[in-house]
Amino acid sequence: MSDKNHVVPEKRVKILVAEDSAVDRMILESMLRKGGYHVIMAEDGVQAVAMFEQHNPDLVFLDVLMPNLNGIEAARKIREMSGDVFTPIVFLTSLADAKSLATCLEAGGDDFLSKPYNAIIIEAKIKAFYRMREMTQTMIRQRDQIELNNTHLMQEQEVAKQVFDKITFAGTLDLPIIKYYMSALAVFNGDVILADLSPTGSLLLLLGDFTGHGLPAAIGSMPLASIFHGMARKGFSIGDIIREVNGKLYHTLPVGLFCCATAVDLSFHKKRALIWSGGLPEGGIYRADTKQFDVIRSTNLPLGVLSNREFNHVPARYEMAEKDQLFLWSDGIIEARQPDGDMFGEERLNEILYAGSPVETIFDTVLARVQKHIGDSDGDDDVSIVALEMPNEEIAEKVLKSAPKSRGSLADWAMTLKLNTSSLKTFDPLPLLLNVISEVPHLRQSSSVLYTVLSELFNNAVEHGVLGLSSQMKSSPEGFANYYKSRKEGLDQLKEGWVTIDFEHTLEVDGGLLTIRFTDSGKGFVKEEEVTKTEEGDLHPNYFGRGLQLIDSICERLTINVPGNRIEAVFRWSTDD
Amino acid sequence: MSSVSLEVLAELKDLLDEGFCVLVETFIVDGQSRIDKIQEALLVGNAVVVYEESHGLKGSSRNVGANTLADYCGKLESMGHAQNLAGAEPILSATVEEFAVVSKALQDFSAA
Repeated sequence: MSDKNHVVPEKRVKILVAEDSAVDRMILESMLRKGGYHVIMAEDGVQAVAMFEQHNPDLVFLDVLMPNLNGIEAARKIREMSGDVFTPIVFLTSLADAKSLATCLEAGGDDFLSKPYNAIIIEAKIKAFYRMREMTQTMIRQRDQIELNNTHLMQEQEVAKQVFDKITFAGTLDLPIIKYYMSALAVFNGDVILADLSPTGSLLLLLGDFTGHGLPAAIGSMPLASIFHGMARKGFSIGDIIREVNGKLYHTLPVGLFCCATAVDLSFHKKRALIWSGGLPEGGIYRADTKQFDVIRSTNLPLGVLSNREFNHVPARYEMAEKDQLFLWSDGIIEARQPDGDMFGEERLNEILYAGSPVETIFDTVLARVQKHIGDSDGDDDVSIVALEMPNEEIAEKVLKSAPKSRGSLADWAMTLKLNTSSLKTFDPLPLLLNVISEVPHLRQSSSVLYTVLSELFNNAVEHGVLGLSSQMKSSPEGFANYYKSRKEGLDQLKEGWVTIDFEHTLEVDGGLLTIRFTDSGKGFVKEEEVTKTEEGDLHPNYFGRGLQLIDSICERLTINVPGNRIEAVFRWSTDD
Repeated sequence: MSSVSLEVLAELKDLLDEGFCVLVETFIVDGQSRIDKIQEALLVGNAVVVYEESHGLKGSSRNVGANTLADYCGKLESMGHAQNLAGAEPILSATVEEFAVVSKALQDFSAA
C-alpha cells in the first residue's frame, strides 16, 4: 500500500470504499479523489474489514453484495471495531426496492447511495456525515473530560473529609457528658460538631451546618475549627469566639456560603449555659425533674452573613440543673426523608420531646426514630444530633481534670512603655496597647471602652503635659483650630519630652484588675485646690474636662498627682454573668 | 431510445480523462465474464448466480448510462431472486444483443 509511505494531512477526510465491481469501483474512486479525499479501496468484505482496522477511516462506503464477506456483515464488524466513535457507513447499491434499502439501514448502515453515482450527491453526503462524526467526537471528548473531572472532584472531597475529620476530633467530643451522632457520608456533608474545655472551667461546644457540601463547606470549617479550639483553650468567652469566627467567615467566604450554628458555654460550677444561636432549627433544654422541654429559639443570623459591626455576639443565659440535657440538631433531622420522600418533620420530633419521658431516653429515642424513618434509603440527609448534660459535682470534677491551664494567654502581668521625643513625634502607641490588652481573654470585650480611656489619657499626657497646652484654648471654634495647630507645631519643634505608660494586670476570681498609669515630662496642670483627698487617701481630680469625666465613669478609680503629670486609672472586669 | 446516454458518457470522460478507455475495456471484459456466468447458470438452473451476476452488471450498466441493458439485467435479477428462471432464456438473448450494442457504442465514444 502506497498510502503508508506518505503523510496524510490531518484534516483530509479519509474514506474507505469496498466494491466488487471494477467498473463501479473506478468511477467512485475517481469521483472521491477529484473531491480531494483520501481514498482507500477494497474489493470485498474481508478486505474492507482489514483496511478499516489498518487505516481507521472517517467514512465507509460498502457495496451490499460482495464476495467473501457481504456488505451487511462487514458493516456489523466495522461497528464493533469503532466502539464509541461514530463511523458513518453508507451502502452502495443498485437494489431499488424499498424493502432492500430498509434492510441496509437496519443492518447498521447510516444511509445508502444508488447507482448511477452522482458526484454532487456524494459530496453532500460526505460533508453531512463528516459533520456528524466530528460532533460525536466532540461529545465523546467532553464526556471523557466530565468523567475525569468527576473523579478529580471525588478525590478532593475525600481529602477535604479527611482533613476535616482530623480537625474535629482534635477536640474533646469523647467526654461522658456529650452524646452525639453525625451521619457518615462519603463526602463532607457540611455539618460540624466542635467541643473543647476552657481554662475557666466551662465546656464549649458548637454545632454548625455549612451551606453546601464537599470542598466549599470544608473550606469554611477549617477556620471555624481552628479559631474555636485555639480561643477556647486560651479561655476566651463563647461570645468572643463566635464574633471572631463570624468576622473570619464574613471576610473569607463568598456570598451565599455561611454557617448556621449554635454555640454553648456550659459552666459546671455556675450551673448555667450561655447559648448563642443563629440559623439552626430550635434546640432546647430537657429538664430532668419536670420532664419538660424548654425551646431555645434561634435569634441571630448565621455566621458569616453580617459584618462584625452589625453582628450581635451576646449569648443568652439559661439555668441548668444537674442532669438537665441540652439538645441541638441540624435541619437534616427534620428534613430526613423516607424512601418515598416523606420528611421526618417537627411534629414527629415534638411527639418525642413532649411525651414526658425520662431525660436519659430522649437522645436514643430521637435517633432511633429518625433512623427508622429514613430506613434503607441511603438519603443524602445530614443528620446531626448533640446532647449535652449538666454533670453532678463528681463528674464535673473528673471532666475538668483534662481542662487546659491558663497558659498561652495573659493573666498576671505588667509592662512599661516609655516614648521618648522622637517616638512622641511619629508613633501612635494605641494600636500596640490594644493588641496587648486583647490577648487577655474577656478583657478583649472591653477593648472599645479601653480605647477611649487610653486615647484620652495619652492625649492628656502629650498635649497638657509634654506640650503644656491649655484646654481653655478649645472653648471657641477658632480656638479649636489654633489648639491643633499649636499641638502640631509643638510636636515638630519638641526638643525634649517623654511619656511613660505603665500597665499592671492581676487576675481575680471571675475577673481581673487592669491598672493604667500615664506619667509625662511636663510641669503639670493641676493645682492643690483642684484635687480632693478620697477616703483611701488618693487624690481625685475635681477638675473635670470632658475627657476625665468620661474616664471616671468607666473606671473604678481615677487618681492624679499634683502638679498633674501622673494620672492613674483602674479598670475592673468580670466574667460574672 | 438510444442504448447509451451520451450525457453520462461525456461526464465520465470528463471525470476519468485517459482512464476512460480503461473503464470501457473493464466494462466489456467484466460484462462479458458476467454474461458467460449467467449463461452457464441458466443451463444448470443456478438461480443464485443468475441473481448475483445480473445484479452486478445492472449496477455497472447504470453507472455508464446503459439503461436499457440495466433494465434487462434487472429482470434477470428479479427472476434469480425469486428462484424462478422460467422464461429467462429470451431475456438473456436480448441482454447479450444489447451488451454488444453498448460495447460498440462505448468503444466508438472512447475513440472519438
